[in-house]
Amino acid sequence: MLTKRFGLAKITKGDIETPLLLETGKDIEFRGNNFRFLDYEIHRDVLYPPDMNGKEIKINEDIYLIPYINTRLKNTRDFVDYTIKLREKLGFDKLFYASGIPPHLIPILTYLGYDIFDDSLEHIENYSLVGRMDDAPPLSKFMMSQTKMALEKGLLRELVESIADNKAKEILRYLDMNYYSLIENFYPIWNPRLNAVTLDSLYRPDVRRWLKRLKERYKKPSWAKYLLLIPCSAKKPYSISKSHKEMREHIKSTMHEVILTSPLALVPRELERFYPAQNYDIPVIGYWYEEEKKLIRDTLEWYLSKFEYEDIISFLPESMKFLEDILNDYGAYTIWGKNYKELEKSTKKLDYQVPRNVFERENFKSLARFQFGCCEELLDGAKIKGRYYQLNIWKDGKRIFSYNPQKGMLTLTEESAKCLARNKKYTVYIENFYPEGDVFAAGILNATEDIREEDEVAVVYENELRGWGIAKMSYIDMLQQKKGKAVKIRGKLKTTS
Amino acid sequence: MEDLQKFIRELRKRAKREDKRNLISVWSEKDRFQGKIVDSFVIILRTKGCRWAYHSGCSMCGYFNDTNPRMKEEDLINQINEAFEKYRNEDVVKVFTSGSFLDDWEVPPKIQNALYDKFSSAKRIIVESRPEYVTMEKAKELAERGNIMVALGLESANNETLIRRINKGFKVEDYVRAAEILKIFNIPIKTYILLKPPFMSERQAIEEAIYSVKFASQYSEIVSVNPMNIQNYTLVEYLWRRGEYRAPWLWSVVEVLKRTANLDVDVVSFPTAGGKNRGAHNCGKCDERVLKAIEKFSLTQNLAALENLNCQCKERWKKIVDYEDYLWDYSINN
Repeated sequence: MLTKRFGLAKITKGDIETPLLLETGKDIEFRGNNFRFLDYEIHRDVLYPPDMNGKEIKINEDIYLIPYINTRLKNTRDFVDYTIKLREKLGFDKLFYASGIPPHLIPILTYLGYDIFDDSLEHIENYSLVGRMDDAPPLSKFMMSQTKMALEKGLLRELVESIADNKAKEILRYLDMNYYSLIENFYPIWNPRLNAVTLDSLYRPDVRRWLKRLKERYKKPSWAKYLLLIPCSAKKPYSISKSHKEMREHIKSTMHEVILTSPLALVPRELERFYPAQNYDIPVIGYWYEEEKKLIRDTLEWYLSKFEYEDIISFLPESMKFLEDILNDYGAYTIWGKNYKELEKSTKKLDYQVPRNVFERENFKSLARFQFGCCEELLDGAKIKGRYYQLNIWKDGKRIFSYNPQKGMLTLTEESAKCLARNKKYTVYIENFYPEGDVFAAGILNATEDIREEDEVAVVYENELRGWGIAKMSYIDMLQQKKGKAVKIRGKLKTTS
Repeated sequence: MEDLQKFIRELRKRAKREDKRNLISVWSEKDRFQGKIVDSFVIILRTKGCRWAYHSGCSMCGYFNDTNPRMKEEDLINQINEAFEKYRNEDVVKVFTSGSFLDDWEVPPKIQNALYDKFSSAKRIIVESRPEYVTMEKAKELAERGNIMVALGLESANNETLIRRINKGFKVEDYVRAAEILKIFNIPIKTYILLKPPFMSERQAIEEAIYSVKFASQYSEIVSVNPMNIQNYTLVEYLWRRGEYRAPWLWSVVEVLKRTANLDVDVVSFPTAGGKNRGAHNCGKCDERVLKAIEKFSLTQNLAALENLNCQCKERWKKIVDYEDYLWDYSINN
């Protein structure tokens, strides 16, 4: 039963809990040509290689042994293509057993979607974190425990990026370059942390999704007349950092603050809590790599050409002078370094103040659009009530949204859930029942393609709203998994009793 | 099986054969005959080749490379004469044809008889044949000669291996039928067992060879264990080039000989290309020593020859034997 995913990697519970490391001689065993896998026994047939039509071996309805992993690893691209094709053929709910793998590759193979491993190769030769190494101490168990921990904490990508092995990097990069649109489906929309530990982080599916969503969904708030481009801070969300607090004391008009950073490139202030903006961290030494420069330059150029402002001010460190030509092209007033006097002077001159209620409402509208791609019009004429950590959005005497600052996301109510259902966005279609606590995958008939783990979703039977809550799996899993919690219900309409 | 045959045929197409009409080779070597070490004379005739090879052929057999479809009777007579000139009255004469000496299509009966006549002074002539050419009539003729032994390449006593790993073209039952015919006429049998057909782990290969040697010993006077050697334009060569096949370790040969030494028949092994990459080999340091021990044992049948053999690489071999099965992959065995 699927309990958590991170990309193709998954945690499952039940008869067999994965990711799993099998002990040779104990969990798996050869008796002549019969192979025992835990409580299952299969006969070993003639084993032909991949290019002679060698196939995966079915252990039971849910588990497949994938032979010839070491041979397949010789050609990374073919190996990855083969694995993805096999997934698509056999289903994303199946468990794949990669036998005899080099233990330092357990993280990347887990990331690629393999679920079960064994320590058999280590009985023949030794491995270290940097590959094969004579007389190295046992590694399989250690690698498996690290992989499991990282996966549970949403840090598998960080572990995978950090394995110093060319094969591991090839697999990762080939996946990033060729399978983004598949793997992105399985990346949660919210995750506690994102450490951009290597340059490969620029190609993380959740980072690329951020940029893609900016381009596809983002609209600047209607009050945003003047743009202020500013740097990121180490502490997140930016606005609680010392540097941003200090800076904001010197901003004398209502500016649309947009943060330029790596690896997210560009974060409008009103989205600063939306994952990964609130959650990422990156090693900072005041030097930008060419790839980062290109990413920020391209995104900034896109932004400035798409959204018009009456005036643009940039307040950026000297190290970001690589943006100077673009800023000049768009007639920005550039302030390099922490010249607060200049900041104060130039913003004061604009003399533009937006009333707090308009400012907040329009910012939430921008967030609604970014989060759902629809329903922002619900906020027209709405009122924001409560303190920052318990904000509710009301309209015509009804609560239409709540705000979860920890996730930086709007949470649904009956009104907004109905809106999603009407728009056929973030909607789960169930069989005819009234959900109580959770909706399980077995009860789901259909789900819209925009749903990722941790998204807010409406739960609907035919055209009737039955509830709303948090998606616990992506739409693909909702349709393919036979078991597992699919939606954690937070609100519901009517019960049978 | 169809796929296997298609693969084998495709690979063979790449072979280039020349229009040669002479003997492939002839030499003298030591062999074991009726409990004694004797000189033996080996003749390799160039014939039209194995009839099975014209269909598809065995996954490891590259002997077709040396055959010539245009071979005529007079060419064969010339070859027999050429061989006889080099014959120094060795006790045993061993005849190979890259096919079946008893196949009247490959070696016309006239030629078969010419060879028996020429070497009638030998204490023993060993001719090799696939079992389908062993008939009652043929056996009767051979029995009349009195000095002929028939060598049958059973390779494995496991039909699954014969069909799906070797593409042998006959089954264990066909071997038994031939052996029983020969037995009726008291014609002694030598059986070849192949150590390590493709698509097998080192352990599987050892176990199956032992089983096959035991099986063949019921019908044979001598069982010869032939460790795989990698021949041109074969399926096995294809796998070997891709790192998916390794010829057996010499330790595996030693293991098979040790564990079959208690049988009543002679079990011998003379590894072709022993110590080389294309033949049974160990780490390179101990190969010569281990090969010598195997030869000594084969000639004397004295187990002492195989005792106290050691090398660092034996540890790796042991690990491979114990754990390679679990990999479901043959590329780690090197």
